[in-house]
Amino acid sequence: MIFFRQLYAIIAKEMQVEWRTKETLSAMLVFALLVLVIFNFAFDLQGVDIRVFGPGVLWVAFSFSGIIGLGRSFAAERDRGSLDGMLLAPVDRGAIFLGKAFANLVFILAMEIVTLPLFVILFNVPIEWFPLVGYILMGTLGFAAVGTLLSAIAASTRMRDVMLPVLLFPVLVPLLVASVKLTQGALQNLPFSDYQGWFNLLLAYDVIFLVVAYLVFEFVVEE
Amino acid sequence: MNTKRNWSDIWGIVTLIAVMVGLYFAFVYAPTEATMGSIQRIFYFHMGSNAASLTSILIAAIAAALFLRSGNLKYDRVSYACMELGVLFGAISLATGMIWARPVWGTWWTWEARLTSFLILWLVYVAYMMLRLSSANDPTIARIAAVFTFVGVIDVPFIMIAPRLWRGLHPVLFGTNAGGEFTFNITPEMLTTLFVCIVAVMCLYIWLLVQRAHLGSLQAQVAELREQYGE
Repeated sequence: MIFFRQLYAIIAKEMQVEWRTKETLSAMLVFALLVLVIFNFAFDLQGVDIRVFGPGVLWVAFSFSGIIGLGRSFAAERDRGSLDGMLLAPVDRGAIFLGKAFANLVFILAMEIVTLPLFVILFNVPIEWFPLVGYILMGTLGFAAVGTLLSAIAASTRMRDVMLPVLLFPVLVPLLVASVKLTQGALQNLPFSDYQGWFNLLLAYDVIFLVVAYLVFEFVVEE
Repeated sequence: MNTKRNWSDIWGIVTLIAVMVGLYFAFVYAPTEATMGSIQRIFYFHMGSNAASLTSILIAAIAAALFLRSGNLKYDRVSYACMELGVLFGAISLATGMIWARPVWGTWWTWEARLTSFLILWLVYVAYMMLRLSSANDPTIARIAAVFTFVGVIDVPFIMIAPRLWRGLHPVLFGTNAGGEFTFNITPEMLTTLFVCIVAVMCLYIWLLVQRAHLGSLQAQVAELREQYGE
């Protein structure tokens, strides 16, 4: 029971900090929009089947923009020295991880809730919402779990801003490919059996990395 | 200390002989492949370094687990050495593979499942090196790097599966012609050569691993002495 109270306290603290400034979230939103615009120029996406190429564009926007939020998650705490305070408090390390991961999940989802309609409008994509939203949620869950752990790792190095993408992207490749494939399947209205392998892969990735990140997190923040 | 050095010197000589024998097998003993010609001979060392690179992350993860359990920096040095050798042998494997693929497949690189998986794994090794080099003198880096090794090794099955789902598995190396892909039939002499070369490269790998871990402990001693005498 006390674990959930701690978890709630961490999540509430994260939300409050972000709500007061809204710095990270606004940066993520602007960045995601910029990625969409740049892709439009770089690939000249007029005339191609956007249901095939669109998912790639969308997930690059999601992941690049998400990394900005993830990078701030622990770097800001280190800068303010507030991480030490949190670690000194009698709080379960697992609760810190889950609270942080949940807050990151919420921030990334908030960015995606704005970016997805923008994508639909800007690229004129015919869209089916039903399975798509579920797949995006699944992809984002794994992304937030691995991202939170690696954000903590990157924040303890000297080159923290550069380090996170370098560490995160190689690990993230299977998740990104699976998410793109699922998004493609949903946009093209393919039968589920066509991409069920990807669904299973993403589900396994989410579960395994959430558990592993939860278990190893204490080794990262231990001083 | 001294006997330790002696053993590693003896292993060095064993390695030298093994590599010489491997070269003899690859260049003299093995018959020239009918369609590819002599370029196929690079394949023996390609497979050896490939195997060395693939096993690196497993040994590194085991060493990292032992380090986190015991806090003994010896295991961390082994883990670090493994990941570094993973970068080295991975690069050799990628380079020799490209040299082989250019005349045989007509292209330096193709996004075939096996190649794609290997490249992503190699990028994980490189990411680890970046992490290590970014804060070489930080005492907490060993623990953080061990955690990243775990993340990497857990990612390996996904890295192996995802490109196979993406491209489908194309058997391009041995056996019968499966999907109209280019294949060759391996003769017993070639198989023997392959085996000898893999053993030779593994000897070299172990020798380098021991040397690198030893170098790490010397570096740690130097750092300790520096601190002691206040430089």
